[in-house]
Amino acid sequence: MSKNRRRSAHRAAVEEQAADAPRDVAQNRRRSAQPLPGEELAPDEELAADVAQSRRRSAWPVAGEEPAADVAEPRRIAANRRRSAQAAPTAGETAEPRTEQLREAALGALSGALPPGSDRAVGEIATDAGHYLRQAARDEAPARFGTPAGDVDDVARRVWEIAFGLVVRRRFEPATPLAEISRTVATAVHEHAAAALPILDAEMLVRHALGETVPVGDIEDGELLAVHLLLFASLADELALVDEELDAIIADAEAKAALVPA
Amino acid sequence: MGQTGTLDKAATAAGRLILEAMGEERPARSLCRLNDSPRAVRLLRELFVVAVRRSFVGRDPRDVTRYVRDLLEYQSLPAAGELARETEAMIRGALGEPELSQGMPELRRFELICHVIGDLVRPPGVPATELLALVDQAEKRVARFDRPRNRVVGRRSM
Repeated sequence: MSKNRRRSAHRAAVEEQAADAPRDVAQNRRRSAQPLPGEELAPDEELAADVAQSRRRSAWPVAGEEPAADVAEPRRIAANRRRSAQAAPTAGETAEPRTEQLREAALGALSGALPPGSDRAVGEIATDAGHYLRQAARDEAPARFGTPAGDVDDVARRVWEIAFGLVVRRRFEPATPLAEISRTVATAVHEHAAAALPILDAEMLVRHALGETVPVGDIEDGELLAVHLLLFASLADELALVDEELDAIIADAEAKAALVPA
Repeated sequence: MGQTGTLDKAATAAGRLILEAMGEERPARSLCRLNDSPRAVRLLRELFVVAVRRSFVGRDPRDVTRYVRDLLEYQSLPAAGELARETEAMIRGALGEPELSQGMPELRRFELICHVIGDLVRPPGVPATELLALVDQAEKRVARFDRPRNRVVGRRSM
């Protein structure tokens, strides 16, 4: 049978089915597996609908997930898969901290805090945020647009902001001509053209790091993160920092961020 | 303060409209009302370029940041956020960095231009003769760009 004939036969079968069922019910079922008001699904059908819905929307595996838990609370897990990187804590999860850690790791949550049980060594990067910044500086970060895919905590943001300030002050003197700053920023923005960083906002953040009074209000969080990460990478490249120097700056930023009260 | 003594000196109707608006109590707002006149809008853009270049070329570019802060604070507008950055982008765009203001909506550009030009008459304000000279120069720029050989839009290849 030719491909066209197969398609027309399939379409005819679908139209016949649709004509049998009431139109609105058929549409609702196609879009969502949620039961209609007043309509009861059989337990098997309801479970199948939940699982189908969660499978359809996201293919993300949840770390530590077990089939038994799926059967017990299909709706909750489906909601977690759908919405965000933040998992809602429940009694079962608090009893399993390892599961929670795995889930956070799988979802890409980045922290600037020292991992429990580890010590800070001079000149060595100790936090996830520090390692991510190093990857960004070496152009090995998973996100090329600057902002990591998962959640980022406040300490991580602080680490990156401080590291950005350190590298800016290493590159520029406070009285550096504005043309030189603009040129460097323009180069950095063009290097990371895919991130579409606003040039003037980036320049203002550099001048702010140099201690100037400039308008840096109303800059969105995502943009702020992208500027801190990508300009850090460009400035590190412009300064031709070797690995030890780069690690020392990031470790210094981590230590300074740890001193700032939350 | 009024600038009405210069009204009959402007060569074009658009120039006279602009001078009249600048003589009113709230010049920025009066200038913004001219947005339904394409010739006035065109002339305002050129007047902005002329005024900015005569004020800032040859000076420290950081003076632009300081001026913008002063302008917005005088007009009781937020001076530490996006509006200040946009105003600086417009001014530095006229000074030779046009990429800074790329993507800014036309209406916002026009409003910012009106604020900066309206600020020319902030007390003590520029002398009337200088204001007239600025408008005259802007009119000449418009005329120059309107010459058939300088038109880009609609020019035929033959």
